[in-house]
Amino acid sequence: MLNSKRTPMLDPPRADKEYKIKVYSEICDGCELCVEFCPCDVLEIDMDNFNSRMLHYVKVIALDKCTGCKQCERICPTVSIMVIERDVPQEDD
Amino acid sequence: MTSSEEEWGTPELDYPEEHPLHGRLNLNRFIFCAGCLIGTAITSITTCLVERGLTPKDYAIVSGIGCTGRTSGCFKAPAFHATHGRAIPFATGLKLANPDLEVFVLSGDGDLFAIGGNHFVHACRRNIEINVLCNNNGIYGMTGGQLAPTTSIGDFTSTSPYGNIEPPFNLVSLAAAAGASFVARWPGYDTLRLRESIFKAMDNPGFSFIEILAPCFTQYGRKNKLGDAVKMLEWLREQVVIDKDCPPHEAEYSHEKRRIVCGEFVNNPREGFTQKIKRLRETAQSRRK
Repeated sequence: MLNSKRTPMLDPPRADKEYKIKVYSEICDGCELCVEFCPCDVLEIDMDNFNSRMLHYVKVIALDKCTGCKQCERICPTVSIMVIERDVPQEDD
Repeated sequence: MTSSEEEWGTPELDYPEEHPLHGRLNLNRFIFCAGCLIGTAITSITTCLVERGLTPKDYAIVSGIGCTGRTSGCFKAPAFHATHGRAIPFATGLKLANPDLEVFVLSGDGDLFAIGGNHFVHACRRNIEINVLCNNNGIYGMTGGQLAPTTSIGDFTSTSPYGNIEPPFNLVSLAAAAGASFVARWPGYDTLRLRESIFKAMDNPGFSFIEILAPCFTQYGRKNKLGDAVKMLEWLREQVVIDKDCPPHEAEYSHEKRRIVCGEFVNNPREGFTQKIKRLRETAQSRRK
């Protein structure tokens, strides 16, 4: 893997960005594809709550691990998960 | 409206108005099994169109009959649910009537290759500028899991309870041999490469064919005891080999040998059918004068 000469398709994670994950729980089917495809175990199926179609939806458990690869957003069959990125607010010294 | 409907309201979900794709997709019409990659194909096409800056007036979606045929209801755009197997003829008519339109055909393997196989071969031969995306699940999903022309040898379906004995179509080899100018095959979970191929298909001045491998866990997985959606994607990933330099006649598709070669096999841009029609019309009119 490390000897591969292919150029990576995604940009490396950036330290100056922070990410927020928005879940549209009404249209989520709870198919667990995003949970399986997330490389950093950020997501989990919420077994305590369900939406108006009586389906358990996905919830974010560890947002600080998110690297912003957006794999969950691309794989989601119902477009119910979106990754929003913004610049990290600079702290005053 | 009857009294009971007034009482219960319309049986539609309220979907979030602030969703970024609210203007492009009917988010309450995703009626597919939870975990089916048909929805991923829809969102891949839509995000590619959004990234290109195309408005719903600039493109059209045609789909046939079947699970993937239901996708035309998901688009908030000119979308047409054609008759069985006749998605490509409708798309051909659309493209000839309005050559500026970006026409997508999104249909299943049973629709495009069983009943509509003839239309597919002749659209490849004409090299008309439409983009055909085939969602290949290797079975007739909606009608109850019957044997399709893409079912591998030895697979169990409801009409082959002792195992399939017919060799399947290799869709990539078929499209390349018939003369398509862009041919690719990607597993449905490999969304980045699939989106790159959709962009190339939109740029290609000719017939583009992309095969998307989207295994059906409800029918195929149940009959072959392969488990749920996630387990079937793992089963698919073990078989997929990515080889971009493979010639199309060597691109194997076999669940029996556990080898499916994926990649872009043909990228040979040449003059499309509507350009030829335009040239023919100009020469005919000049002769008349």
